[in-house]
Amino acid sequence: MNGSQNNSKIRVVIDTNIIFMAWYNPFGKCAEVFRRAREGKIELFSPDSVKEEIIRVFGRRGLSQEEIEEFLNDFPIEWVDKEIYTKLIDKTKVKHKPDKPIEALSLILGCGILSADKHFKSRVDINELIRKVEK
Amino acid sequence: MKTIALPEELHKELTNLKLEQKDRNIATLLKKLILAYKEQKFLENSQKFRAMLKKSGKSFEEFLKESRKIREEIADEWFPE
Repeated sequence: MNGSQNNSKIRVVIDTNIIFMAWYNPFGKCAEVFRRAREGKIELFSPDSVKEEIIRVFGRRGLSQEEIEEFLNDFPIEWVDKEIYTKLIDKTKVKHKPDKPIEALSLILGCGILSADKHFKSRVDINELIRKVEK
Repeated sequence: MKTIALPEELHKELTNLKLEQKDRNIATLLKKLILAYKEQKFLENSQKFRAMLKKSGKSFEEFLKESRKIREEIADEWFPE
């Protein structure tokens, strides 16, 4: 597994699809990861581009800013500003440009990526992640 | 450490709950209550999310595809070639 550990907390960069999957299936593995994060066992990070993606997806479905904020408050994610990860965009290996911010952030933090997209090389296995924090 | 003022009745209820839960202190109990509150909010939002999806008549896979398109749009705006 590629999640890095800091003061016994495991760090991972989280992708949009995992966030949506948690809302879609609140008793599934993705939601379980967020529960562990709320308990302080996992540290979650994501680029601000992922936050923007969620804001636009919900905004186009007619949700107000306040409603979107309420959704976003469900998860203890540290949103990282693009000024921080942009400098490593050129070092990323993923071919698809929209996925580069996720990989760039994982390079900066030196941790794995939790995503349903299989093309990330430093992808974290969700079962292993959950198992590790259960120990 | 910070101190908060509570009405006596509420303090009594919290103390009783702490004993009932066998928590070491009120702070531990409050942490548990906050987690329970957040879980409740999450479950409510999950219901809202599923209702929104149902209303749109789209499958979850179609929803994710739409999201990916928006991601491409953001990448083009934020990281032009």
